[in-house]
Amino acid sequence: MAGPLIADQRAAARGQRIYAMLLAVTAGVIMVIPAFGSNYTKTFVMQGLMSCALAGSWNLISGFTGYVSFGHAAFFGIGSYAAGIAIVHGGIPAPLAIAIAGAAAAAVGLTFGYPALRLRGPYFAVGMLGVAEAIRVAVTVAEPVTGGGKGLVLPPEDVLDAAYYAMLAVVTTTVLVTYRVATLPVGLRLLAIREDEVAAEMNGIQVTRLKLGAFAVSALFAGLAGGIYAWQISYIDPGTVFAGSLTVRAIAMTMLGGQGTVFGPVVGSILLSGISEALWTRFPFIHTALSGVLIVAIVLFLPGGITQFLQNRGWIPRSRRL
Amino acid sequence: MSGDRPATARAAIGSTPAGAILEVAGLTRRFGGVIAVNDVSFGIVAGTVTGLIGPNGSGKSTLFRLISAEMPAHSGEVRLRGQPITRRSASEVNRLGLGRTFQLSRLYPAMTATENLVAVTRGEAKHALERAAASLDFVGLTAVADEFAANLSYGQQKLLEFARVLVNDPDVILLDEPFAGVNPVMEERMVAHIHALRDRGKTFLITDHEIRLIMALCSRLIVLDHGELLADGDPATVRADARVIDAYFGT
Ligand SMILES: Nc1ncnc2c1ncn2[C@@H]1O[C@H](COP(=O)(O)OP(=O)(O)OP(=O)(O)O)[C@@H](O)[C@H]1O
Ligand SMILES: [Mg+2]
Repeated sequence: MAGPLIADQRAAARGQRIYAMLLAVTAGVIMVIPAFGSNYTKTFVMQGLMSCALAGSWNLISGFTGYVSFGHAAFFGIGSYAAGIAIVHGGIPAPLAIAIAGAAAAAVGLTFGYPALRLRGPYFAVGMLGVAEAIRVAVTVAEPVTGGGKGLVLPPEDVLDAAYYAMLAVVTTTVLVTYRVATLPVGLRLLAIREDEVAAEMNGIQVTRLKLGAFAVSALFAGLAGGIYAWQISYIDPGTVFAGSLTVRAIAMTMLGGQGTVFGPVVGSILLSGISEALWTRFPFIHTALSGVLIVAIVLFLPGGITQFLQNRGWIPRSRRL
Repeated sequence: MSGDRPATARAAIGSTPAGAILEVAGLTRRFGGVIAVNDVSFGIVAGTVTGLIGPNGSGKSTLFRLISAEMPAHSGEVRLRGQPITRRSASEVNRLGLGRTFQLSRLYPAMTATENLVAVTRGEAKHALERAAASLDFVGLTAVADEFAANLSYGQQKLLEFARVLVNDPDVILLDEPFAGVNPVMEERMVAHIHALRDRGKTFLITDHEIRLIMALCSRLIVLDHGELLADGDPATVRADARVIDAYFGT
């Protein structure tokens, strides 16, 4: 087969422009919502941003390297508690507490990633589930510091707007970092690990180092999101911030948009947030089950997500992992 | 001497010429009760093409996996330019200048041919695309540069894997059955490529059951049987060795 036809390339470039414009419009709307929107709208969008941060973070390790983690909520929870404890017990100002949240999650990511990333496939996925559960239990037991199962109450502050923009900043940074990764050879090296780790290693790719790096950066963003969440909501408990449903949603969103792509998690979280908001009011009970059903449906019918669907139709270029 | 061919072949077994670029010393690997590679020693000289032949299951691929550090040996040592590499990771061994292909191609299927090469290319990122293009051109795959590796034919996949090994310009190249499934025109081109690379000082160790091609390519043959070195010498001598005929060629 010869290279793509010029007409195809034009169509793909046009498709890519439309795609980029839609994303830019969305970003613009999100930027101005705090000025016009109600608290309800702000809270809803903030929730979507948080999901998007988690999805983008999950994508960095699982979407690119194929190390599918079922315990990603652990890093969100650690971030929440690190910020909460820093604020409550340390009297540390929120911005610094949120930075600590990111650092703590990254440090835990490095610590657990070193042994966990030696596991392959389902063993890693389940191993991370175990890690998340172990951390949740540890947090619950450490009652004097964490407030245990009753949770941790932060000084209530009306910081919705500030937290909103902080979450937007985390999402933007995640997307920019992913873009940078995806457009440099390092992104292809991460994908090569996903595609065939032995062949990656045999061709000189420094697999262990890259996996750990991706894992730490991924944990960092999840931790930052958790820290901002704790600051804004001003009450956290282990059941909420370590909830498996956080991980499931992040996986569903990323898979819907396209794993190992730049905008996949963004597109997926916009769509899924919208869908679940529409369903939430009418069918509150099937809401969580929906994510699970969606994952199965995507795996069966749209394994590469929306991005690959568009690429296969020639609407966006296949060589660029956007 | 010529009347005693087996002795000739045996005298050369495990010979490690002075200044060998790749040396294998007493390498052994077991799988349960099977000794896949049994106390194998030899050395190969830079700028030569050596064939590694033997029956199915004689340990050729396992030997490749031990040399390239895909799996650890139970005993013995591998040296590259005199430096032991036995305890190194596979990616370090590759970075030291030893590249290999797999008997069954192991590409990155959801990545394009170009991406398969760019992913592994070392050195400055801005030159990666050029080098990938040059490597694809070398094996005649320019037309499918933007095709996903999974969509390539079996032979094209073999060639892409060859190109991927070459992109980092290794000094020692191990090819595990590079001709299986490759058409005659491509075979000829690969033989020419290997000779051209050899003339530039590259060192090859090649296994294949295409004995005609192996004879044409190699200046030396090493024969494995049940994990043991059975013969080692120039192709004509080894081809005529009674024990090799018995174990491998048949009559
Ligand atoms: N991972 C493994 N686990 C168990 N046994 C193995 C493994 N790999 C190889 N073996 C055994 O080791 C022996 C040597 O196998 P190897 O693949 O090295 O042979 P080969 O010479 O490459 O054969 P072929 O010409 O068919 O490719 C065989 O008996 C094989 O069954
Ligand atoms: Mg073999």
